[in-house]
Amino acid sequence: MSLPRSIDVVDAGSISVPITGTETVVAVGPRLQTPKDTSVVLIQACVYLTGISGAGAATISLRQGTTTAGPLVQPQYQFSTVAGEGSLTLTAMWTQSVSQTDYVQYSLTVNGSGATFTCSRAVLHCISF
Amino acid sequence: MSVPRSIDRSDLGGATVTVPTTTETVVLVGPTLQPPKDTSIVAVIVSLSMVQGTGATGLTLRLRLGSTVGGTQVGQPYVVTTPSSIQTLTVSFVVTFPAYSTDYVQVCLTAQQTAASGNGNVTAAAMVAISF
Repeated sequence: MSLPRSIDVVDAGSISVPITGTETVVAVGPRLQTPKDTSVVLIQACVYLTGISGAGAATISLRQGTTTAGPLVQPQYQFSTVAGEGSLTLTAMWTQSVSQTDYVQYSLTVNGSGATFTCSRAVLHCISF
Repeated sequence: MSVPRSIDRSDLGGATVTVPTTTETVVLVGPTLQPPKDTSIVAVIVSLSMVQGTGATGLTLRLRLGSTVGGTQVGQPYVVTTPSSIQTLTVSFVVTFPAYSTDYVQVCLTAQQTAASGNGNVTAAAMVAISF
């Protein structure tokens, strides 16, 4: 059993990030101060994708740090896109155990395969406990 | 208004769980959450990603008490109807239920495909449970 220890959020607001087959950072999360000993960090994300063209697939990933080079946090969330779908709102969630850290920071990335679209909104919400 | 009293989580990590054709299957067993002893509300937030089996036209997601499909269902099921062209989907949902005079609460997430002749695979799942 635990209690929430810290909480923070980053809302990228109205953005326009084209996704064309390359993993792309759409939001960099807050620098969350964690308990010094051990804790679990819960990360929730919401993305709004617009202008979906063509049938294909997309992947939402979470990485440590601020770039696509950061270590991947499992799992990756995938979904199919359908021609004419237009727009899509998706939420995803991750948890990660951390220890002996002062701060953690994550970035949210989106990638597409066979379909192109725009990420028009992205929110990252982090809680440590 | 309440404040959180306990919070815990469960996560598939990088594992994959197979959902055979139309059989209800436990995908993820949640944490053993210690709620307040008297009365409380438990909120469970779930995200999962699934590759559907051949012929699947939908997916029913449930939370059940305990760790098996024999457990009592809590909240209402979430039914996702999908066109046959959808192969992979990501779903998030929230279930809340009251708890009385209990020391611990545990729920499991189950998935059941509709009309599938092939097995599905849950490739991502995470659950957080909060009592207040």
